[in-house]
Amino acid sequence: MIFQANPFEQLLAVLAYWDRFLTGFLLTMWMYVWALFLGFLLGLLLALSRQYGHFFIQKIAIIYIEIIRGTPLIAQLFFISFLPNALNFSIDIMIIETNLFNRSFRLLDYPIFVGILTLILNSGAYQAEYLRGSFVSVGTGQLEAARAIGMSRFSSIRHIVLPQALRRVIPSWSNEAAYLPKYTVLVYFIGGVEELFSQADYIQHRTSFPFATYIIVAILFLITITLISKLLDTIHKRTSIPGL
Amino acid sequence: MLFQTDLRYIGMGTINSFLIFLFGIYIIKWFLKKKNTANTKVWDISFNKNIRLSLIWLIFNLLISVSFSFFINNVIVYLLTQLCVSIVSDIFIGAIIVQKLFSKHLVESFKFVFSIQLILFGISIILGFLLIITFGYIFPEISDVLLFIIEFGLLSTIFITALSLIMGIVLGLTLAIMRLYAGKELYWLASGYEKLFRGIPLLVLIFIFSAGLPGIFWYLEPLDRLLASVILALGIRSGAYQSQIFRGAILSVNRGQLEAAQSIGMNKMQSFRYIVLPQAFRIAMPGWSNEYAVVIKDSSFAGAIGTFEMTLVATIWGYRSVELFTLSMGVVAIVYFLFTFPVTQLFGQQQVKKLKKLGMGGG
Amino acid sequence: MVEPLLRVSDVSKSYDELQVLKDVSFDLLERDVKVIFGPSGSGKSTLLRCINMLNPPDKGKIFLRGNNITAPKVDLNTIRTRIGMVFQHFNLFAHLKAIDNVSIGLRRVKGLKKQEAYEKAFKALDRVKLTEWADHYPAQLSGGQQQRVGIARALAMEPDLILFDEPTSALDPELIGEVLQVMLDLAKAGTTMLVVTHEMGFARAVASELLFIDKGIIIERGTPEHFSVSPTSDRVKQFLQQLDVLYGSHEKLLDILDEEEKI
Ligand SMILES: Nc1ncnc2c1ncn2[C@@H]1O[C@H](COP(=O)(O)OP(=O)(O)OP(=O)(O)O)[C@@H](O)[C@H]1O
Ligand SMILES: [Mg+2]
Repeated sequence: MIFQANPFEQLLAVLAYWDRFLTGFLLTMWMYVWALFLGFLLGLLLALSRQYGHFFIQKIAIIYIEIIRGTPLIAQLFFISFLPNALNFSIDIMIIETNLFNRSFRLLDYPIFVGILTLILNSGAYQAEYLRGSFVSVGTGQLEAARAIGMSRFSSIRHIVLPQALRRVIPSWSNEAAYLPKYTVLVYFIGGVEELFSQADYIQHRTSFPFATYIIVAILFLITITLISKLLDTIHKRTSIPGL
Repeated sequence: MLFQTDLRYIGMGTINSFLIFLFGIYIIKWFLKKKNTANTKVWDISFNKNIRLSLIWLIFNLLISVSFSFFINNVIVYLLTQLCVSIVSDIFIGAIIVQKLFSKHLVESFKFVFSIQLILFGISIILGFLLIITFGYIFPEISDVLLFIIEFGLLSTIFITALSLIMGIVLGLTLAIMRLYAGKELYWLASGYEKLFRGIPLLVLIFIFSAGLPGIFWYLEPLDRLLASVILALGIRSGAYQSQIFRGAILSVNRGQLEAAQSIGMNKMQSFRYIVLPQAFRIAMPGWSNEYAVVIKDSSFAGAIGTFEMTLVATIWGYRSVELFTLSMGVVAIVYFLFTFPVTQLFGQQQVKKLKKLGMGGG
Repeated sequence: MVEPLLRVSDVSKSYDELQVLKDVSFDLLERDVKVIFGPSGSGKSTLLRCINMLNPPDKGKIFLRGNNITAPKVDLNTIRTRIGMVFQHFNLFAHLKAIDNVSIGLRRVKGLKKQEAYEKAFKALDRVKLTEWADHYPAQLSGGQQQRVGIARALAMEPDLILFDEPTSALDPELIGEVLQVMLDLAKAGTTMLVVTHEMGFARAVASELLFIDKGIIIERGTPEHFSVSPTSDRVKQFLQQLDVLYGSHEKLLDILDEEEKI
């Protein structure tokens, strides 16, 4: 291996672009947070319909979940981003823009929207499975007991099953929470989204030090994911009920 | 023309064979259920045998369909011949299966299978024509993309997945054993490895190995270098996840099992090899099938650095005519789905049920 | 004097601060059956696990046919092939059929050929009257059948003695009889057994001596008649009374079994 500069100099050269790393990272996290929380809502909806819905709703939820889980995210991204093109209509997305470090920083435009949307649709299916697992683990006994004291089906799910299930889901759900940031990088393939990976791509072309660049990206992700797991761990410990 | 074939024929033949296989299994399953409702145990065992024999049946069928596609180049004639021949062969194999399962008289089982096959024959002819009409005339693009993807991308995808999974198994098992049985230093090493590679996005890993460290595969051709770095990245990361899967599985083998093994005089190695590991593998199956799905889906990242695999091939097709881009993505998604869903079902859901029946894994 | 098959001398064992066994000593002769009983948590299982060296004792010695098995350089695996163990929760190998459960030790430890091992395993299964269930997985068997497979697994290794750790306490009442019957048959055939159980009927039928353990100490020992007629310590009396309330019915059941045998 021949290096033009020693590793330390390479790192310094790459770190000169710290503002790009930072904005890219912020955008990645921005998409991640949206995808995680809206995906959670979607997942909850899917899990509830798969577990407690009527026959057809159940089947629809199953088909959706299995198709999303069975196909690669890249294909989904491409599929959705070219869908308006294929169906011959166009979508206008509001553009939100701010200034950061003397550069314009887009929070929302069409490619970002597609990225977030796909991540929501994708993550929703995975989160639905985790949620369903915890519904199953709560067991039908709880539901029956609630019905036996005269609660309606809806309110027994709402007040008895859901609180238990949401506590139980945290350990497995934190898997998904730690998975998702790593998959947000795929938004890079849509093109035109200045998230961390595209920024890294830019930087490595400018500096021609790909190794140092990607190592920094890797470290950023490592720190983020460790923090997320730690955070969820403490939440799990705080909310756990003795004996559950 | 001799020895000239159309992929479409092979595809049709394959689909037909699968249909016959599936129908065969389900009908025999239904039949067995009807016969043995009282004694579920017998039915369990005979069903396993049935599946095994049906697999032979399927492979035989596939061979026939592929070999026939070399001689005949008219779709309809091909389909008919293939069906006739495979049905005759199926009747024989099926009769042997039934005879084996119920120790019935050969003639009797022959009659039974013959009547089943006649029904199947009708169904699969109708389905075959429907397939030809839909894909040959109504949606010719779909079958074109499909064949293009299968021809140029499928093998590569399977190759990448298989190698990475094998690498992942070796790494994962080693790491799991290091974390469970080795000393403190190795424990930290293994858990550090897991933390590290579970925290880095796969795409970043691929870029580190391909662009960042272009020297690691200096002895390979440039294109193979990309392929190798993709496999390395996938395998290394899969190892980190598989380690968790195997560790969890080994831990969930009951402690009592180990004690019982020791009480009949097995040493540590023997009790691990003959008692713990076989159970751990079965318990790990569902998690492992998920990991397989993850790896095959993530092998699509290989396209990002220009390695040929299904997604890249589909993208190329899409660029031929941009209106068809979404369509080709849909088709490639379906192909992935066909490779993941049945596996996760069979080794995931079914295996979980089976494990519960055997009373293994936690409890 | 005959050399005892098993000699336990001054065995002590603690888990952290908790001392579970305190200077326990007794002998077990060839073809002899002894029963250990006592309240929950008194250290009965721990004693058996010490003898099998699953949990080696902290102090004291255990001799098998005069060989000290607590000595540092003993090959524990060969020792364990000579001491069979039947567990409270069966611990059958979940991934193996009954016949394989019984034969795996023969094949992997004793190195027999498959055919040979199966023949022996089949004989062992025959002794527990389970030959027609040989092809079933443990989960497909009832608790009583599982425990009998567990006994067959121990028997197949042809051990010098078999340890039973409450073999019937995880079973439904109607399944206890079949396991006890198998154990009675073994005892009558001259198998050396050390049994932890609260089935006093069984003890009375075959045991030469009963040991009452409480808090890791053998408080009282004697023949079955001694315990049923005149136990000395209050602790034993109280415990036996409790047992009577709980197990009285089984005793009658065993008496019936016994009478059937005589006829
Ligand atoms: N591995 C262990 N670590 C710590 N303490 C233990 C362990 N195993 C047993 N003990 C403790 O040792 C004591 C004796 O346990 P043991 O299992 O020998 O009792 P036992 O007489 O067999 O009771 P039971 O009738 O309930 O089976 C108990 O108080 C138990 O809590
Ligand atoms: Mg005990």
